[in-house]
Amino acid sequence: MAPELQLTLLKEALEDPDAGTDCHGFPRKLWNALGGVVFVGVSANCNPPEYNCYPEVPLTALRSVLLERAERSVDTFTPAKAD
Amino acid sequence: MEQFRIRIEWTEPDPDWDGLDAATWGRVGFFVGDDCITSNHPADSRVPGDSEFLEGPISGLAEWVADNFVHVLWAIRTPFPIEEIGVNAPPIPGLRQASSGWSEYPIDCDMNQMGVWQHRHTFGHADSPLALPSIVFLPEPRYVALAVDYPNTALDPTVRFTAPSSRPWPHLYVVRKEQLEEELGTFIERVINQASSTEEAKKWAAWLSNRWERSRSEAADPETRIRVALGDELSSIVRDARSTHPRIADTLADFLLDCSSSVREISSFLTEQLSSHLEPGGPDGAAWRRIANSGMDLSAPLFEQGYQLARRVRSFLREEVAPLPTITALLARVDVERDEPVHTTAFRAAAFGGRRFARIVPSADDERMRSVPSYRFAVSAALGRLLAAACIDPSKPIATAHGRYARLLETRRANAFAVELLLPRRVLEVRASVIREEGRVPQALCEDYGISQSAANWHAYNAGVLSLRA
Repeated sequence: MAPELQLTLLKEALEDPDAGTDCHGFPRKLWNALGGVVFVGVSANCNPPEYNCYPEVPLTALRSVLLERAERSVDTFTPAKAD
Repeated sequence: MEQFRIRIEWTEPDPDWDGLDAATWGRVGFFVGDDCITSNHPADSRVPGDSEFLEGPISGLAEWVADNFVHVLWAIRTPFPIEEIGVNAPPIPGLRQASSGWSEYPIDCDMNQMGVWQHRHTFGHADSPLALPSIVFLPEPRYVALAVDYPNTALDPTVRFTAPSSRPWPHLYVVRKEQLEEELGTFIERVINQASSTEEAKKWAAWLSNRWERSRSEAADPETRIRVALGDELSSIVRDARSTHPRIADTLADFLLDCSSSVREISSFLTEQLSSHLEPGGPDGAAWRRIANSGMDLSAPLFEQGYQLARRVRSFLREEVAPLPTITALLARVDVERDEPVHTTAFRAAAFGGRRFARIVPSADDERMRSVPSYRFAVSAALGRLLAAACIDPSKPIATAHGRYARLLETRRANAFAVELLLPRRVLEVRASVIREEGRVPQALCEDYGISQSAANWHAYNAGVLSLRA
């Protein structure tokens, strides 16, 4: 995945409401989805924060919104607007 | 009983990784008994490198253990019916089933609850970049079942796993809870110690150490165990019982582990049943107690334990191979009363036993209880639960149930008991040639013995009389 796209996906990622924070107080887990793939970003416990991102089965309260986001195509991707 | 082991070898990290990931970089392998369940090779078949270990940062796996420790050990009730597991039914849900939205499971399963359950019971889920097979923990009071299966390859892991040749996946292992608890504790403490030895990971080590202490305290607290085992709603029934009927609270908690959540509708009936069974009464040395007192080899596989108990009952009845009479007559011969059916779908048949007398209560509302073979099977299985509980701890009052949500391992033993009681293996062996010729147990034989053909075929398959499942 292109680094710019990865960064954009991280920016609009959703915090896992059940995962809490890492040892520096940053969100411990982020989720996003695109092109049929759901990704999780797991905090590497760094300051400033860094996330290890990889495809994962979305077993989280965010499941339905992630499955909706996964329907977005990579070619026509525009980030979701913040609420 | 097999042992679960996690082996770690600390190694030099990949230069692309730093910080905590580098500090906890190593090779990790999972083993159950003699089986390695992390045997793998690179997904790119051009790259050599079969291995029993996975290499990468191990910190995430330790975080998952700390967060989910109490659930792995004590979250016994499941959001899906356990009974559906087995031949011609969906397996215990793992990552592959989760990927497809558990489409094989009944539509009345709550998908949100399924998701929460699956995350808490699937080793390392969404906490580590290390690819793992699907390792799902199903705890019971004394044992934990481990359902091991392939992961979802659509996630494009960098390795492919190989099942042990003698045990194709999905495979269910059973380990002692105390051993699993100790092994997970050793694992997490090794990771914390390793992280503590490097300056950049010390803060994380202290943070995880606090979380781990909290998790261990939770897992050791009896009230927390009951809340996690039963869920908020059913554990409140036990909490209420502690103030109104303190003597039955523990037995009630045990019973609720076998029921669907609709059991709350009959909580007053249960309280009455349990209270009456804790009172001494009835004939001393009842037949079912004498059968149970002859013991059961607890080191044998669960199905074998069920067979042993069934043979003891048949031997007591002096009916080694003949079809059994009506279930009510059978129960009377072993001094077990059969109560009027109760209106509930929480279980199919419940069994209650005090020091001197016992009673089986069928469900009036469970659909399967309308079929004679299913009724005979369910009541027999409940009798098996009663006898097994009396063998394991003769001093405890007994309250168990057989049904869709009953505990997996106890159900396996009870099902083996019921099938062997109703249709002894010796009968199948004598009729083996006819069974093989037809590719199934003949319908007439099933009718003679009052057992469904699917149960009879399953028994014949396990007995080695049928080579393929009919």
